[in-house]
Amino acid sequence: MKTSSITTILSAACIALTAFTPTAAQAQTTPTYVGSATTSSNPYYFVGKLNMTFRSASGVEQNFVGSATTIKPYSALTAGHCVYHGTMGWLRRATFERAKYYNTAASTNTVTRMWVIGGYTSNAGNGSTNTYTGFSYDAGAVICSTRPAGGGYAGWSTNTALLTGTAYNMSLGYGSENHNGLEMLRSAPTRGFTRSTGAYYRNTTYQIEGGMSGGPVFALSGSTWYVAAINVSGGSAAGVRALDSATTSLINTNLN
Amino acid sequence: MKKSSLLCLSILLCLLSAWLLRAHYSKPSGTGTTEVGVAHQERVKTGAPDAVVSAAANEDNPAAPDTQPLSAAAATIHAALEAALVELQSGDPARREAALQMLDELLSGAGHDAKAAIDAIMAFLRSGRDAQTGEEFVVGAEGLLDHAPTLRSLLMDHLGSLCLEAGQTEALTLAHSVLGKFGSTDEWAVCLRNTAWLDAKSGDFLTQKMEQMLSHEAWLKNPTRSFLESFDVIGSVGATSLLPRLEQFTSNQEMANLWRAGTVALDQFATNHPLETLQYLQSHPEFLQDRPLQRADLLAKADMGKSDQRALVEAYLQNPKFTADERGKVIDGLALQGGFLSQNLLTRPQAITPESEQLRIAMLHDLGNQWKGSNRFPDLNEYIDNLLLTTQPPPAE
Repeated sequence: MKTSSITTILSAACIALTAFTPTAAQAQTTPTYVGSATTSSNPYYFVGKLNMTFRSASGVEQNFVGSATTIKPYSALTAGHCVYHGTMGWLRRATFERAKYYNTAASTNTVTRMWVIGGYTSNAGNGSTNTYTGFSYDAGAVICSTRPAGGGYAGWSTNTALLTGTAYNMSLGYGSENHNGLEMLRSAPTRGFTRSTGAYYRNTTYQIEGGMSGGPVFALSGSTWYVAAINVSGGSAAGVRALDSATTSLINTNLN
Repeated sequence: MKKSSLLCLSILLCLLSAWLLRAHYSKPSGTGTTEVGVAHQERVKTGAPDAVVSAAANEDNPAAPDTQPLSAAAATIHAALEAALVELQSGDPARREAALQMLDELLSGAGHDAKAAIDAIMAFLRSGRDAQTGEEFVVGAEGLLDHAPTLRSLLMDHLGSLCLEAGQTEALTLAHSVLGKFGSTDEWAVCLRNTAWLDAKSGDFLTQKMEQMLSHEAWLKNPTRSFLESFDVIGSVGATSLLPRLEQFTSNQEMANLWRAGTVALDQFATNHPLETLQYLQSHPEFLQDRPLQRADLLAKADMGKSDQRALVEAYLQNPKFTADERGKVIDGLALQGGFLSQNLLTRPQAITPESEQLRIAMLHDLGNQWKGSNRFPDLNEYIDNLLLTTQPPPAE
């Protein structure tokens, strides 16, 4: 399964490289629409919009927008805070729309299980960096009842040098803070990330916005794209959760 | 011989040489039993629940002198441990890393001698000496440590798995001694795990130790990673008596570390003991009453394929004392199940396959249809409709 997915990635990567060159997008330090054609190309087409419904204790329904990346046949990687809220608890309903572009999506999938990929202590810091609203810097995952990409999924890398070095990085996601949340956004740093605590990295040279949470930071190594981190915080600096070996070990062992 | 083994052997020889040189030029440290590591110097508080038996008063104290000579194999390993101590005490990162690699290969690598390693570790631990490794406390696969902050905690980690492998109980005896006083949280965490591993009937003992641990103010004030990881014992042994303590931790949002560990511990408890959770919530309706949505999350861990759990959930869904939204969240949570995925000291992630997930979804869909058809919970139809929607059989791929 993994082999066939890599084959899919590699063959599709050629198409992606003709559709997009890192140099041309390096100035995109603020989230910018990628457009319909790019959305349906590698590696963008593994990314989707996560529609989330929480509900407050008073019964008021609260809908949020997040992002996720198909990382296993049935599973999409996202941010921990997309699935668990400190006062509202676990997410109540969710759908994952892969490669969504306005009213179309490559697939729309019902989410039936979710994980915060984290435990008693935070891998992304010593806990003091987490707000009580919960698992802010953790990775998360959603499991769908159907395979979002027909069994294909994005490759990932635990090599954090892809974040801190000179490799090209880009954050993707469905921003709804300053954009409409209906179309995929991309933004890219102009230099490498700096490790903050644990697996949490920051970058002051570019921005991500609300709704891009849970979306991937892709790193280009050679001609291959890898998910190297997850968007977890915005503001004056982009904050991302690197995919360290502990996290990917859990993904490999426990996600389908 | 493998390249890695050769490398390890050469590191071992270097370390042994260093230790022999040190032994030659330094004054002997006497019996070694009077020297107490830093982690053991904290005095034991008196009064319940802090009143624990001090190690000195324990007849089984493994810190007592041992006159039994080591076998040749154990003596070689013991010498390597002494050498590693010197390297770790150097504070030099490269030397520390080499020493840690050597220890891992020596104690858990291919061809290791479990019996000799146990004897050597016990002899070393009796000396009370210790060194920082420069690493954090990190739990890895199967509850083994990926990283340990001190040499002693690292050796106790190995001791637990070696005893399991060799069918011996030295780690259990040692654990009872370590858990007899408030020394190091790192050692406590490993010894709690070792006790659970080596003594199937240790549930009450572990619950008692967790009660002491979670009441020890000094540790609560500045919770270490190992202290927080120890919360896993609660969900593993099903320590119902500690649920009120977890409720306290999860109500205090200022103490983010305790809040987080308490939240995960409650979730793990309900995941590993769904029936006990349901029974507890039935008999303690005041539990989490100020956070009804989190209470609902715990109920949603129920296995609805089991009649006893299903009956308890259905009784709860019919209870008008709880708001419709809280009860509705249970139904939402059955359809969309959440959980924490991490490497823990004792609990393991649920084994979920696409097939088992499909069976769960289909079962819930049937249940939703039954509830809807019989109008069993008329004020919850909105949530039942969502359950039916979420669990709708997917189209054939």
